[in-house]
Amino acid sequence: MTRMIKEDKSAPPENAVLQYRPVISFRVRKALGSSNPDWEDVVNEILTQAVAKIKSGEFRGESSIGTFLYTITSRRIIDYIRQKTRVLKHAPEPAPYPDPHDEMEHRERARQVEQVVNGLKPKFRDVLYLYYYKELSREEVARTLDISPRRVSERVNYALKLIQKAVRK
Amino acid sequence: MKKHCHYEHLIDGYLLDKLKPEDEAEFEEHYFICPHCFAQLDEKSEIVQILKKEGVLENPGNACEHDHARPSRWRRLLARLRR
Repeated sequence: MTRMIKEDKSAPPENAVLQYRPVISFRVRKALGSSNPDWEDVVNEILTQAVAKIKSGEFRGESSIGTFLYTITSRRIIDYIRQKTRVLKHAPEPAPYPDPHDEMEHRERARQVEQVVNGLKPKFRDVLYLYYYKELSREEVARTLDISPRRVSERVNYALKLIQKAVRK
Repeated sequence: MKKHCHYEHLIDGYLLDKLKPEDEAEFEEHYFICPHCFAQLDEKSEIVQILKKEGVLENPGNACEHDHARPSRWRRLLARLRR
């Protein structure tokens, strides 16, 4: 990616930066909470800032563009949290408005996941329940079910593969 | 795209907020440059969220037989031998 930017000087930096929108969005949503309505604005600010830094020559390609964007993203998240902490001292946060289309898609995927989970043999459901719902470690699940940690991983991976297959359809 | 990456084992821990802060930061930096890990992470993220929050696994009566069923004779014997 870095090479691509160095070699093709005529290509606008926006193209390279925009490829990272999904990964930046993921990181921002994870940090801010996916129901936080500000996440999209924060992502756009990061992208704009990154393009400006590349255009001004501040990014010289010493690190990969991924690492450069990771740094900008992390700093912006910290700034956002600091700002919000200051604001929250004075006023309560308004309730977020979830996107109805996203909500519908999410509900549909939840239904698909539920269908697969309900069709699983109890030994697979047990592992999912203890590992993801009760949030026990792999070793704790192994001790609880009297199986090896490796067997726990195998069961989790098998169940997840079935779920992923159903959700991808 | 690589088939396996040695950071892959951190995906579950990251999604369940179980990583140590230094591992979390390292993995975050990593998935910005690893399309393989990011694809896995992105796909697993919503599924894990559903499994955690949507009540799919909420009913231990249906979901977790180990709470209720007595272990088999062999399991009990093995457990005793391990003590």
